[in-house]
Amino acid sequence: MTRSRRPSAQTLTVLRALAAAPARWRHGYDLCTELGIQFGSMYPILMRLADRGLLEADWETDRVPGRPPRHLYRLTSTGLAYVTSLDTSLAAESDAAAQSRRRPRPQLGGA
Amino acid sequence: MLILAVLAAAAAAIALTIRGGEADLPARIVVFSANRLPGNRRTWGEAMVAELVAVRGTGQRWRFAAGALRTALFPPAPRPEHARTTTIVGVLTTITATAAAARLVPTLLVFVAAFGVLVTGSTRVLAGRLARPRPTRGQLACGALVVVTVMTVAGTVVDVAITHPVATRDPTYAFSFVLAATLSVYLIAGLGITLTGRTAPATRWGGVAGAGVAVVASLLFPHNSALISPISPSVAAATLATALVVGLVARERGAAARAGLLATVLSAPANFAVAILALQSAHPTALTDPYDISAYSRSASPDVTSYLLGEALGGNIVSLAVAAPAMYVLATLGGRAAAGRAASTDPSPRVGR
Repeated sequence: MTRSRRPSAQTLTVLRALAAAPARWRHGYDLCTELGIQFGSMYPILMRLADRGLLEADWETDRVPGRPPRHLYRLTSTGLAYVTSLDTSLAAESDAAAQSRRRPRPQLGGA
Repeated sequence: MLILAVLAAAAAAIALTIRGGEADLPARIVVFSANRLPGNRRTWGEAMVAELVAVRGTGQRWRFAAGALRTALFPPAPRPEHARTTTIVGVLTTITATAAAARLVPTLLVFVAAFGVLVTGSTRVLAGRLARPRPTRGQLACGALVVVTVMTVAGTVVDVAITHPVATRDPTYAFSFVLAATLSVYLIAGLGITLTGRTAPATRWGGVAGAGVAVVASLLFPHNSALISPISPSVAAATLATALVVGLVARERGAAARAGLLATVLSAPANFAVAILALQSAHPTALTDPYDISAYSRSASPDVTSYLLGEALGGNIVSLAVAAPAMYVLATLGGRAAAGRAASTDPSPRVGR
């Protein structure tokens, strides 16, 4: 059994961007420019997501003359479910934190 | 001078390695980086190269190239838990070794600490590049040979520090840092060549054989280690011969360069250890060189052997630092010539790599 670690903020940003339009295939460099993430960070993130089965990759099938086909990425169904469950747990944690802030602090009893 | 020599040799090595016809330099760096990704990430390398067409503007292309280089240097570890374990073990070992050095060999405290930190970082990087499936027995045997050879240098220096502590005094710590960095480079280069699966067994064993010949030559004809030694002729000859033979047989200049570099990585540290141990066992008590006589009277060395060992250590550390990049240039040139000759004399078409 592997331990499930909370993804980094950048990984979460990538996951949410991909989950926003799950059927759409995206280019790596376009994700970099859209999300403001450096290329050197983006590819390791994509590699890790693919290693975990959360991302699928494929080559462009529509040939454009004069340039090689580019790699495309989108979330797998597992990846989409992961983002959903992650957002749910984050929202629950956020609610719990807000409630604990609103709860009145216990008063120190005095004699 | 030393830093300039190492930088010049390293720049020449990189310039020889990065090639790419009419493409601009960022594109060549991306191709170079893509080719350095571990075998299981090769498709990702192709994806990075293909992505270049979308990157416009000089600044953007340079940033993209820097990102590709970073990805090639630090790819995600295939087994992150192993990488974490490697880091933890490395940090604990470094702390223990540094504490032991502080008690037993205080003159080597900085060297031990710097070497530990650099080796931990290097092995962490290497953990992300290890071949999948597990390395073969042959790969592990060659990797063990690299570790033993590099650690022989560290062991030799520790031995000198115990028997002649004054010889290892380094007030500026420059030699400590240079030796730590040099040994780390040897370790990562040797393990990278032997363990990461890019190197064919023939190339690997060719490098080992070349190093074996060089070590035997060093044992039979030890050079005068008391002088600031140039690169050992036996190491240079073994490196060039290995690159030429592997280039002719494999007809691939990359394989020839890797085999030549492996010969250097294995033979230069062995040469270092042989030279220092030979001087230590000779235990000289008199000086003949006028420069040494004058320098010895000004030095704080308590005896001639300590003085000569100190000089020999400095010279051999410089030699070791310069050897790796210089020999890589030599191996690349030799491999290029041999692979080109083999291709021009063989009319049969090549199949596969």
